[in-house]
Amino acid sequence: MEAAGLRVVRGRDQRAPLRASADVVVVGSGAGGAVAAAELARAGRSVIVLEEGDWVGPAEYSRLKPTDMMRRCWREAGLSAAFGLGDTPFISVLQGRCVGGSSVLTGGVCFRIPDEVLHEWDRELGLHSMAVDSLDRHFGAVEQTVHVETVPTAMRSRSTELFAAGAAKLGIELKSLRRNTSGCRGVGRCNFGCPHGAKLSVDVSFLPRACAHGATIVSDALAHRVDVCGGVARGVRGRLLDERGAPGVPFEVRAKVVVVACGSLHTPLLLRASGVDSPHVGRHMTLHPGFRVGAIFDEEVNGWDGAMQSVYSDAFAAEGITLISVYPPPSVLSAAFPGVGVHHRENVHKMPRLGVFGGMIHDDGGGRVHRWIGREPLVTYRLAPRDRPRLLRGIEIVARMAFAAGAREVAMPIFGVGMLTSERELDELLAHPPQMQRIECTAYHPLGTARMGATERSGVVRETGEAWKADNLFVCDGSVLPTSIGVNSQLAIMSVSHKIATGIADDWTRLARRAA
Amino acid sequence: MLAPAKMHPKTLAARHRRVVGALAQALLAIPEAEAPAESQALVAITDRFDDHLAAVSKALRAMLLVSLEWIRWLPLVLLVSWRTFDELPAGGRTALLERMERSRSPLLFLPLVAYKTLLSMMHYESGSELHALGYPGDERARWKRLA
Repeated sequence: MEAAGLRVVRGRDQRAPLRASADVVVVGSGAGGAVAAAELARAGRSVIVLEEGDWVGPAEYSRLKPTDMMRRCWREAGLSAAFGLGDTPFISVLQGRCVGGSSVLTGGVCFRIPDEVLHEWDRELGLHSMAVDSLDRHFGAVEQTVHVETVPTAMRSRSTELFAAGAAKLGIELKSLRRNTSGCRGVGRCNFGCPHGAKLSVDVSFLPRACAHGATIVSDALAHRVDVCGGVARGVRGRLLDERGAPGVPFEVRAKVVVVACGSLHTPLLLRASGVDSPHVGRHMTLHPGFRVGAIFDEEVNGWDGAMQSVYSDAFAAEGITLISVYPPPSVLSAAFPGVGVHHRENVHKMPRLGVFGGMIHDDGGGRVHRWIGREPLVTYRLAPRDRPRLLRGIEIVARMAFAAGAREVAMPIFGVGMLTSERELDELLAHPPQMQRIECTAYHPLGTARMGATERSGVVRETGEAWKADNLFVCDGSVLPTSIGVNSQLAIMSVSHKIATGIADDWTRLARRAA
Repeated sequence: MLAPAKMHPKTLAARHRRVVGALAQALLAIPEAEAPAESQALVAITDRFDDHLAAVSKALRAMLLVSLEWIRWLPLVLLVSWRTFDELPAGGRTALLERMERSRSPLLFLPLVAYKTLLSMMHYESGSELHALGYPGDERARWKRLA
């Protein structure tokens, strides 16, 4: 099938085993895999991209309700989670499972990796090629391709304007976000696929570019293992899935180079299944646990009118907290209102007067990915002791912004806590902090489960992205980032993948000789 | 009783469908007059929930079904009533859900959160509910300021 510059072979339509060969096979079509595929195809390599999920063309986004999109495009239909160990919240971990991967589900927010994080990688972890200057050209190239632009002030929703007013009263500086958009109409449903095609996720940017240079995308292709013979990756095998997601006919792709880009939850499983193991595989996962606070104002807010995300604050970066505006679709917000029955319905019907603002923390790597029953992993996460007060502090700051903006009621992201009507009630709540398990947390940025290390003892892949334990096997996704970065990770993943892919292209002669 | 829908023989057994219908009615305050057996809204939401469950992995589906069984038997476990959740009167179901929401035990509040999230999303994405909230669909005004 072909649309919007994409050529997709739908695995569900194949009735016979699929055998193919290429210079490069890329497993995963998200932010990491798509960039690698496009750069390597542009460099003249023949490329096949294997995607486990379905292909939902952008034209369909506007016809699908949020829960339809979750079923079609989100891993575990949007219900995957990290189980909290100890005093840790249960965290929803949202990941894409479709052509375009999680880039289809983001709010489009683009941050470069903060300089202080890159300095830490360079000086403390010995990853010298990840220094600020080295990554600059890769950030620039990606930003140009996905059209990273600053959200105009006029696109801020009334919800964001109110929180900005509250922030100003508290002396908190807010800044405009940058997003990968062109012609945004502020419909506020970016994370369910932009109905106007204004968000330049990789399915409408890098993947069409890869196809224009001859790459082929195969959807519904579940990779079981990377074939590694004599310490060199030789290809990928697995099964094509039918429309119900059940394994169908087998496929095998032979390639000189294998790029694994399944994301932080599945890359470690594929590496382990392929015998590419290390004590670091599946460990050190960071999540950027995120939260949002709702506020009811006297005036009509209609927060759905405007960009879903438009401002942020790094005023608390030293405390490991990033504040960020967000206004998801009403049905998603409805679930966050406290109460059940009539009480819940009354709260939901206050939505036209609702403002929302959120944040996330720059966390320590307390997560692990375990192989479990079936093909989905069991994800566990232990919040580091330093991160617990961070999470509560972030929630407190946003709640105070709401009251400063004149909110009548504030809905805290704490299960069982009703609407707060004054800062005194907030003070009382914080005087006896709730169990962390009661905090409502969501994570969009799992990172670090196949981390980059300067030595084999410290990581799974080299600075080049190549696995320490298998030649010609590269990892190009968020799993290689060695620590959390404290900001949305889409641009970081794309840019690090761009760097890795450029390195593969530059080193092709040696890699091809090794594969021969 | 909520009859199993013929077009959706996917994941939920008849007893599960009854519990999902009863949960949705209590959680979302669907009017009393619309008993689970007659309510098209509840049949539709149960079908959508069934579809959703069919799209998740077997392991997660099993966990969600176990938690549904847990909710079903909770009135007896908590010595609230000798009846299962779906057999409780609407007021009793709401009172039990409120208790689950206030509870400090993850065994009580986590199943509620899981079902409340999904059922609430499914209910409030229907055109009539969105219209009642004043949501204008995909029509927006703010971006036109840029023109």
